[in-house]
Amino acid sequence: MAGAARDLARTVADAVAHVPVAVTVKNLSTLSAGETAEIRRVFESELKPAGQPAAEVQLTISENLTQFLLVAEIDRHGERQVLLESWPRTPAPSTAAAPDKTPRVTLEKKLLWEQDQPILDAAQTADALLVLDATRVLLVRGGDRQSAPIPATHPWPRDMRGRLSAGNSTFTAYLPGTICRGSAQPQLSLECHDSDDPWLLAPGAIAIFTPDRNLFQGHLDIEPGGARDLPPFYSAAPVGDAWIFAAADGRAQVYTRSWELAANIDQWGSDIAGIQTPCGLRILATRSTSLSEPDAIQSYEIQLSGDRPNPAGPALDFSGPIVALWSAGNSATAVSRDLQTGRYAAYSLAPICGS
Amino acid sequence: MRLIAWLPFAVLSASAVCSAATRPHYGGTLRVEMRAAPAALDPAAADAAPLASLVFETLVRLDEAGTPQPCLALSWQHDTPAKRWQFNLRPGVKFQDGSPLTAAAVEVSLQAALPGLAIAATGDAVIAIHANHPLPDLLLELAHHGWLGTGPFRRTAFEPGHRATFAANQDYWGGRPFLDAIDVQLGRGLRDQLADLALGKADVVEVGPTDFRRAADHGRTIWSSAAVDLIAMVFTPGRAEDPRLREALALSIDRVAMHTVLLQKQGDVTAALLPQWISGYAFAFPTAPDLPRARSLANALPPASRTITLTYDPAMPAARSLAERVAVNARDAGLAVQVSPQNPRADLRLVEVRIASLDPAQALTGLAAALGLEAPVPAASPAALYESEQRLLEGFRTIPLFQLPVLYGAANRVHAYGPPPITKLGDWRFDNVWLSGTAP
Repeated sequence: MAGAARDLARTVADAVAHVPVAVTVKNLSTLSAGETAEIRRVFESELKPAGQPAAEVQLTISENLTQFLLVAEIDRHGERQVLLESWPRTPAPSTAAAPDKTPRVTLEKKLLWEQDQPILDAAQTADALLVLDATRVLLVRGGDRQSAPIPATHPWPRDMRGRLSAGNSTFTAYLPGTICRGSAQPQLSLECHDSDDPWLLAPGAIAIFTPDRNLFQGHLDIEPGGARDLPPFYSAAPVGDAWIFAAADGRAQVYTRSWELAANIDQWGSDIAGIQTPCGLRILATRSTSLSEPDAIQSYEIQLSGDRPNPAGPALDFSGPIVALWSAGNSATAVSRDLQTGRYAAYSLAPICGS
Repeated sequence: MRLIAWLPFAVLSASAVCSAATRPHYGGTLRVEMRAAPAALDPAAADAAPLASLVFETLVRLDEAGTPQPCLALSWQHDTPAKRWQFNLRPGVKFQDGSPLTAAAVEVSLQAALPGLAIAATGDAVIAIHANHPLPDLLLELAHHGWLGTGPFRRTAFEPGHRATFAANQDYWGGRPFLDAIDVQLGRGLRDQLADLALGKADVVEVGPTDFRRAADHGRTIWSSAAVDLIAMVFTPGRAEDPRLREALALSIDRVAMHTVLLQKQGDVTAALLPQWISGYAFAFPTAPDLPRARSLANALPPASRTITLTYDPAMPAARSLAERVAVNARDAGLAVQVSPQNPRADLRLVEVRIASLDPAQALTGLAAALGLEAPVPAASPAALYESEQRLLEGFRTIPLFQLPVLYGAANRVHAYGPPPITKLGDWRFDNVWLSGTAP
């Protein structure tokens, strides 16, 4: 930057035969006021514009897609001359999203992992964190990092989804048309194969995921009760003996234990998860927003005496859209894409009762 | 647990409007209308480029910053002087007929597109490109040449000038598109397009600069490219040979008034060929009128030389009003401009030319070719490119006026997943478009 300003000033000085000049500076670029001032200082110091100006120089700081430009428009006795210098733009370093340090009432958000690639799910084993994305399973144990690749034997859906189900040391990764089974002990191991096997929805409940799309087909098997065919859905959560499905038509549908459609809920997003807490069952739901907007997760306490699901506390806001939300038993895992940095962050969400 | 208490809510919500879910839906046909009426699905033809971008792909593509990114080539390397390049093909890519993409197929395509280079397939997945001179811009070349039918949609019908239909490529390496199909009506006028959007007969239409606010006020989503359409006046070769006439006309034009009144401030006024966002120096070409000098130049002309004819294509947005305003400005300078639509013998044409590359040097080369100017001197720096562009504009044979964005209005049921559906250059990225209210 300073070098370009210096070089341009010298060229301008030669062009005006080293007469004093009056300089005005305009910034059309994304450079800061401080950088603009530094360019001006360097430019003027090289020109040494002392004495009665015999020429005027309009110095404009500009930019295109790949470079910053310094453009000097010289006006001397009505004669106009344009001179340029440039230097490459470097991409702005991405800044990591700071973890939320102010957990509030109903839901406590704990940052598990951040990365540039979309995170599909994250799960904790007895002593490690597992992170699933479309290309690998990453194991984080203290400062140790291990990763196992996931072979892509067929094109992934563009709204990619995946789920981890982890025990103390073994785990299963569900991906569209692919199942991977692995172990976190003693070293990370993983074996994947093409499969239309159902995904685990909740303990005792499995459902078929459409291999080339972003939703479940609607065929599910629940113990007790057996197989059922419902409309396609994005996510599901048990409510005691009943179930709520975030259906593909944009509504959440509530089914009784006898599989009668009991209600539709219009205000929820595509991702819901049920979590069991000491203070009762909670349903977590994203908002019905665009994936280009910040989202929030709202907990609902299911009071069957009311005529609408009641929010159980303030919504938990995120800096970007929620791209995944899965139940993890007594907690849930949410993945958000930061709209500023574009990075993905997986959070563990735990309810705090009575706060 | 009793669930009977949910039933009152079920009744309440039965009449509620179904809200869109956050996750995209699969299915449905996107109905698109466009002004252009291409005769063929040729990726190299400017009027067919948006359609072709649905079907064809290249080894490399440029991101929104103009930086080459992997497309059908997953990686590449070259020697120090950039004379020998090697490209590793993305595995698992299929043509739309289901056959696998092979290095041999790429070799055939590139040999036709880039004659003069030694291109050879090595095995199934590697392409080698050699030359006896450095090829520093090879990636940019490959982003615009060597098209292969591996894209997210496949053509199902093409009626030249009337209609084109496309179906989702089920095996697309980037994931099946959300849409099942795209139905494009070609050669539709802007007014008809806007009416079809309002009547629900179309989902995505082009919007002219004068209709922008009307479309936005009706709650339509507006998609916009960067300012990529150059509106300029071009003198017919052999006509208006006196440079004083051309300069007088150029200096008489009040671009800002036209931009404010006739174009509703869409895009930018310009006296340059390349837009500011691509070159970074367009502002250095003065746009302000200089009526005293224009009058002086015009007065020095023989009276018989002070009359010229200006023609335009009536399908071009705001063309007639722009041409008439040029005539008014010219009259103030002492020139007589006769406006005549679709007149092949006119001295001067009002033209619309789209930029086809994010690389400044390639974009300038493309504009020069489209405007009938000589090929610009190769330029490796902004300073050299500025000089090259300045030389193209010397003599005022071409008078740039405005840089306009390409605007599209989209129906409320149309949504975008991820990147904008219209790129900076105005190409379509409809593989990420989805429709609400469709059955998955």
